[in-house]
Amino acid sequence: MDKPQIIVHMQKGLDYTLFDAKWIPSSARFVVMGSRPNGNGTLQIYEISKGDLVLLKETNKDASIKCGTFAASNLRSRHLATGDFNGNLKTWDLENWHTPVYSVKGHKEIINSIDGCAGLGIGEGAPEIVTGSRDGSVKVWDTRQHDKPVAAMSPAEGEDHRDCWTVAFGNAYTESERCVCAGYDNGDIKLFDLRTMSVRWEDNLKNGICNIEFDRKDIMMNKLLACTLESKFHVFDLRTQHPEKGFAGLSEKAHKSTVWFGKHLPQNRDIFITGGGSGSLFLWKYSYPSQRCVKDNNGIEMGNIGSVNLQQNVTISTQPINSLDWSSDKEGLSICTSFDQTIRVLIVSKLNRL
Amino acid sequence: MEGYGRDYAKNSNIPVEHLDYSYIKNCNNAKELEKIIKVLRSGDEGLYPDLIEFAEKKLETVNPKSKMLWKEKPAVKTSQLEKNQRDTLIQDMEEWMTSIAATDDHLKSKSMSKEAFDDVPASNKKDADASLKKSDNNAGKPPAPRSYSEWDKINIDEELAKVGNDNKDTKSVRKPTGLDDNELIMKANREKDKGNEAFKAGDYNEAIVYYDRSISLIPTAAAYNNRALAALRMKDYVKTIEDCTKVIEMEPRNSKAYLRRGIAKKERKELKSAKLDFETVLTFDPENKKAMELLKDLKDESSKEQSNTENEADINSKPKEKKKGRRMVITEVNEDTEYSDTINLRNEEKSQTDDVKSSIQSAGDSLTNHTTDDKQESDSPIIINENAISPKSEVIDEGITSTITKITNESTELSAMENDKSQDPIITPEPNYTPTVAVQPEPEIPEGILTIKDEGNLLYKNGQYGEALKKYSLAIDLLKKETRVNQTALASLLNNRAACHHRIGDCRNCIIDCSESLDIIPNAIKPLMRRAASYEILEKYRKAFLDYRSVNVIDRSNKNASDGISRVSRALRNIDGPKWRDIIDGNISSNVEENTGKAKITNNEIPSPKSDSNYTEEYYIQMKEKGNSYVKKGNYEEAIKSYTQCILVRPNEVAPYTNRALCYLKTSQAALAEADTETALKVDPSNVKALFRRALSRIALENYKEGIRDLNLLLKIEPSNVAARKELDKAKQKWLKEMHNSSQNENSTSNKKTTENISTKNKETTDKVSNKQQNIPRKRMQIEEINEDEDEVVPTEVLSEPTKFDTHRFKNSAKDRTKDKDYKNQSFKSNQQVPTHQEKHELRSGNPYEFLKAWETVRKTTNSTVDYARLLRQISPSSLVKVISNGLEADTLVSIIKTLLEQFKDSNDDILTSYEILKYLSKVPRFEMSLLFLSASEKLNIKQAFSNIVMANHPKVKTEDLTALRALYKV
Repeated sequence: MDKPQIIVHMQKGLDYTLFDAKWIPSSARFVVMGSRPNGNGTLQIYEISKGDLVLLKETNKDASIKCGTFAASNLRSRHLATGDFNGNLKTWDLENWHTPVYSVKGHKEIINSIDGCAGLGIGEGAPEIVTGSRDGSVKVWDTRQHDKPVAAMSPAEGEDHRDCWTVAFGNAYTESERCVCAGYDNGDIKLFDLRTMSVRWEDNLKNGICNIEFDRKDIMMNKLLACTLESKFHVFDLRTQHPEKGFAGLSEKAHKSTVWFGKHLPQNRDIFITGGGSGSLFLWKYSYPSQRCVKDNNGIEMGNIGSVNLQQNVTISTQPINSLDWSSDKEGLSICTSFDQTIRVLIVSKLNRL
Repeated sequence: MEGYGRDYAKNSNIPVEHLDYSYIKNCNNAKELEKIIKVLRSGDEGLYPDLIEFAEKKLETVNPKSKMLWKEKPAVKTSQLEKNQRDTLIQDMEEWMTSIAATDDHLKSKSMSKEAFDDVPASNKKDADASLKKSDNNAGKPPAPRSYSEWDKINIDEELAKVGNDNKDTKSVRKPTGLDDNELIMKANREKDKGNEAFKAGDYNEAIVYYDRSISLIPTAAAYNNRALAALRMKDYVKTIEDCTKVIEMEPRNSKAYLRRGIAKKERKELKSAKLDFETVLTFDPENKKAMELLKDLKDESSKEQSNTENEADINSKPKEKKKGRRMVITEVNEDTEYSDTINLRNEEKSQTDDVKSSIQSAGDSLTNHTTDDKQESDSPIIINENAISPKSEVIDEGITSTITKITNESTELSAMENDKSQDPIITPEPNYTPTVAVQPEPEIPEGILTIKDEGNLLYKNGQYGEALKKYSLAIDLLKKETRVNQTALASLLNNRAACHHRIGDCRNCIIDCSESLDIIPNAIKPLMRRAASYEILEKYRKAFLDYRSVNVIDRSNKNASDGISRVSRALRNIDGPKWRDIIDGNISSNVEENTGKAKITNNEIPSPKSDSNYTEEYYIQMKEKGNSYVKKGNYEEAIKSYTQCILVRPNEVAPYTNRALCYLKTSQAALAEADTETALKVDPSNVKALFRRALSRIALENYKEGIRDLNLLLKIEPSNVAARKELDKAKQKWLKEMHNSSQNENSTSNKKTTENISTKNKETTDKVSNKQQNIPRKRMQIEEINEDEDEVVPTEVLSEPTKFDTHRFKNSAKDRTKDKDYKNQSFKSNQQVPTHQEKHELRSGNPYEFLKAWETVRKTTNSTVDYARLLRQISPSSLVKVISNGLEADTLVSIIKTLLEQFKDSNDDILTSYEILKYLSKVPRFEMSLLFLSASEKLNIKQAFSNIVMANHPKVKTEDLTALRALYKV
C-alpha cells in the first residue's frame, strides 16, 4: 500500500455548532470557532497531547463566529482574525482575549468567509484581511488602518446583491501584486486585481460556490480551486489568461453532494483535499499537462489544463464536513470540523510519496 | 420482479447472462463493466460479493480511473492500525509535538516584543476605491468617500519612499527587519520550497526567482544547489557552474553539486574539467551510476571531438570532399551559412584550447576554472560577430541602402542561433533554420553549375555583387536546361541572385527572383524577408506588410519580421489612416502599382548610379540639402532617408554617414549610428565628428570602455574639444556607476565583466555587432518617440545621451513597481537563454517604464529638482502623456511641479516649457486622481508655478489657455 492513507487520529464531540477550526501557527494547538444554541459565539483552544485533545481555554462572545484566520498575523503575535454573524471583523490576542485587538463593523450581515495574506511569512507586502459577506460585498482590511477597508468590492447601488460565500487571497508574490477571488451563491466567481483595482476575470460556475482557494497565496497565480454545490469542483490554471476564453479549467464530480471545501496541502501545492456534504474526504493530485500554454487558432496564448486524479477517499462522518485546516508545520496533519459537532484530527500518511 | 424489470431496462440492457465470470473476464469495455458492476451492486440480481470483486478487479485493469472504483470507505482510526504502523505514527507525532512545542514556547516568549510588521508599508490601495468605481460598475462601490482632509493625513511620499527603497525586482524579497534567525530561516525555507514546487511543475524560470529570493534571505547550499539544477534545465550552464561552485565552497563533499557542475561543463565542451568533476563524485561515492555513465559519455565525446577536428582539417584542404551538412553549405550562399561552418570549426578549436587551458590549471581550483568559463562564454558570440561583420563593412563601403544593415542583422542573429546550436551536442552541426534546405535526396547538381555557383558565392562574399549576379544567372540558365531540375538548388540559386539584386538595389528583379524561388519552395523565410524588404524600399507597403506577416506567421521569433511589420504598418497608417488594415485585406491587388514619387526615384536612380555622373552629383547635393533641412526641422526620420539616398549615390562621402549617424543618435538608434560612424571612420579615420558620434553611440549602448577610448582618441586629435572632454567625464562616471551596479548585481556580473574584459583585438568589430544584436529588441520602442523629439540638432545636446540612458531609470511609484518587476522578470527570463543580452534591454527612452524607472532612480538617489529637470528636458512636453502613461502618482506630480517651480523659471524658453509641461501633464490619464492627493502646500506650489508663467508673460502663452489650464489644476 503505497497510497496515502487518511487516518482519524483523534476526535472529540463538542456541544455546539462548529464552523471553523484553525491551527495556531507553529504549535500543536488549534482554535475552534462556532456557535452556541443560544446564538452566542464560542472560541476554544485545544492542544493535542499524548493521545488526547485537551481543552486549554474557551471564551464566549455575543455573536456566533463563522470564520477565522491567522494568515494576516505575524508569527510573534499570532492574532486570530474572525468574522461573525453580525458582520464584525475582530482580531484577537489569544493570550488575552477579553477585548479584541482590532474590531470593525465591516459588513451589514454575516461574514461568511475570511482570508488573510502576508502574515506568517506567506506572501509579500502589507498584511491584509479580506472578508466576504452576505451583504454581497468583499472588503479588504489592513488592521493598522481603522474603520475603513483599504478596498471594497460591492455591487452598485440598486443592483440586487448576491450572497458572497467565499473569498481568498492570491498572487501575492510581490509587494504590490495581489488578487482576491470571491465566489457567490449564484455561481459567480470574480477575480479582483488589487493592484489595478479591476475585475481581472469573472465567470459563472452554475452552482453556488462554497469555497475558493489558490494553490498558493504567495506565488504568481498558478491554480485556483473552486468547490460548488451539486457535488462539483473546478480547477483553473491561472497562468495564462486568454482575452476571450479566460482561464482554462476543468471540473470534476465528487462527493455526491455539496463540496464544502477544497484545501491545498501547504507542503505540496498540487495535492488537495475536498470535503463533502456526505461526510467524505477525497484526496486529489493535480498533474500538469505537458504544455501549460498553447496557442489558439489566432496565435493567442491560452492555458491548457492538466488533470486531477483521486488518490484516496474516505467517509468520516454522516454529516457534512464543513471545514478543514492543514497544519503548515507537519505534513499530513489536519483538523476538520463537521456538523455532527465533532472535531477530528486527521493524519494523511505517505503524502511525500505522491 | 416488476422492479427488476424496470431497473434492468434502465440499466441499459445488460443481459443476465453477462453477469458471469467468463463474460466479465473477456469483457474489455470499461463502460459495460461499469454497468455490470452497477447492476451487481444494486443487488437486484442477488448478492454475489465475489463476482462484484472480480468485476471490480477487471475494471481496474481496463480503466483504473473509473469512478465506479471509488468506494466510500470509512476512515481508519489510529487505534485500528496495525501495531507497527500505529507505533511509527504515534512516535512521529510525538517527536513533532516536542519539537513544535519548543518553537511554540520560543514564539510565546517573543510575543511580548513588538510587531515585526511595523515597517511594512500599508498597501497603496487607498485611492483604489474611486478607480474601481469607474473600471467596474458591477462591483465597484466604495464603502464611503474619504474626505480630502483625511487624505492629507496620509503621507504618501513618506510611505512610498519606504516602499521604493527595497525590492526593485522580484528576485530579492524585502528582508524584514527585526526578524530573528529562526524566522529568517523559516522565510528562506519557504521561498526555497516554493522554488521546489515551481521546479516540479516545470517552471524553471519561476523556480530560479524563488531560489534567488531564498538566497537573498539566507544563502544556503541547498538553495544554491537547487538553483543550479534549475539553471541546468534552462541550459544556463554558466550559472549552473557558478552556483555549484558556491555549493562546493560551502559543502566540499556535495556530490550532487559536482555532478551538476560536471554536466554543465560537459555541455559547454569543457570536457577535461567536466571529467575532473565526475571523477571527484566517484571518489566520494564510487557507486554513483550517473557519474560513471557521464564519464563514459565524456570519453566517447572527446574521441569524437578529435576525429571531428581532423575532419575539419581535411575539408579545409580538399573542399570538394563532403562531410555531412556540407551539401547545404554549397547550396546556400548567404553570409550566415558560410559563417556557421567557420563557427563550427572555431568552436572546436576553442574547446581544444579550453582543454589545454583547463589542464594547465590546477585540478581542483574551481575559482580559476570559473573565470575561464566566463571568458569562453563571452568568446563564443564574439567569434560569430567577427565573421558576420566582414561582409557588412564591405557592404557599407559598397554604399547600399540601410536595409542592408537589416540583412546583416539577420545574419548575425542567425549565426548567433547557429552558435547556440553548435554548442549543444545533441544537435548535429548543420544549420537547419532555412527551409530551403531539403532533406530528401534531390537530383545531383551538375559539376559545372556547382563551380559557377561557388564562383558566384565567392564573388558575393567579396562584395562583387554584379559579377556574382552574372554567375548566378548563368547557373540558373544552365540548371533550367537540365532534364531533371534540382528544385532546391534552383530555389537557392534564385534566392542568391535575389540577394545580389537586393544588394545592388535592383528591387524589382529581386522581387521577381524571390517570387520565383517562393513558387518552388513556398514559405521560405529568406526570400520572403528579402522580398518584403524590397517592397518596403519601393514603398509598396501593403505587399511588404503581407510578406513580413507571412514570415511572422512562420517564425514568430523573427525579430526582423516583426520590426518590419511595425515599420510598415506605421507607414500604412500614415497613408491610409486607421483603416489601413481593412484596405490591406480587401484591396491588395488594386494597390499593387501604387508608387509614390520617391519610389520612382529609387527605381530610376539607384540601379544606375554611375551612368550619369552629373545627374548623380546634382542628386547627391539635392538629397544632402534636403537631409540637412530635415535635421534642422527635427524630422530625423526623413533626414535619415535623404542621407541614405546620398550614401547610395556617393558611397565614399563621409558627410552623409556622419550626418545620418547624428540622426540615428537623435532617434536613439545608437547601434545604427555606430555602424555609420564606423563606416565614416573607415573612409576618414581622423574624422572628429565621426569619432565623437561613435563615442556617443557606444556610450549610449553602454559600451563605455570603447566610448571612452574614442573620446580619448578624439582629444588627442583635437585637444581643445570641450564637448568631448565633458562627455568623457560623464562617460567615466557612468561607467563607474555601471561597474558598481553590476558588482552588486551578482547575476549580471559574470556576463558584464566578461564583455568588458574581452581581449581587445576583436573589440572594434565585435562590439559593433553584438551591440547591434542587442539593439534589435530596442529599436521598436524608440521609433515611436522620434517624431516628437523636436529639439534642435546641437551636438552638445546629443551629448546628453549617455546621461539619458542612466536617467531613464525613472520614477516609479508604488503601483508601477510591479509593472517594473514584471518587466524585470521577463528580461530575466530571456537572460537565462541568452546570457549576453543582459540588462541591455532596458535602456531607451519613450516608454513609460523607462521614464518611470529613471525618475525613480533620481528620486532614490539625489531627489534633487536639478536632476528631475534634466529628465524633463530630455523629453518633449508633448510626449509626457505617452511617457508617463498611467504611471502618474501624486508624488510624481508634486516633484514635477516642484521642479518646474525651482528649475524652469529663469529664461523665457523655460517658462514656455514649464507651461507646456503643465499643459500636457493635465492630459495624463491619472492626472485628476493624482491632483486629489495634493496637500495645501503643494497646491500652493502649483499656484506659484502658474504665477511665474503669468509674470513672464510669454508671447506664446495665451491668457485664455492659461486660465483654462488653471481651472484644470483647480487653482
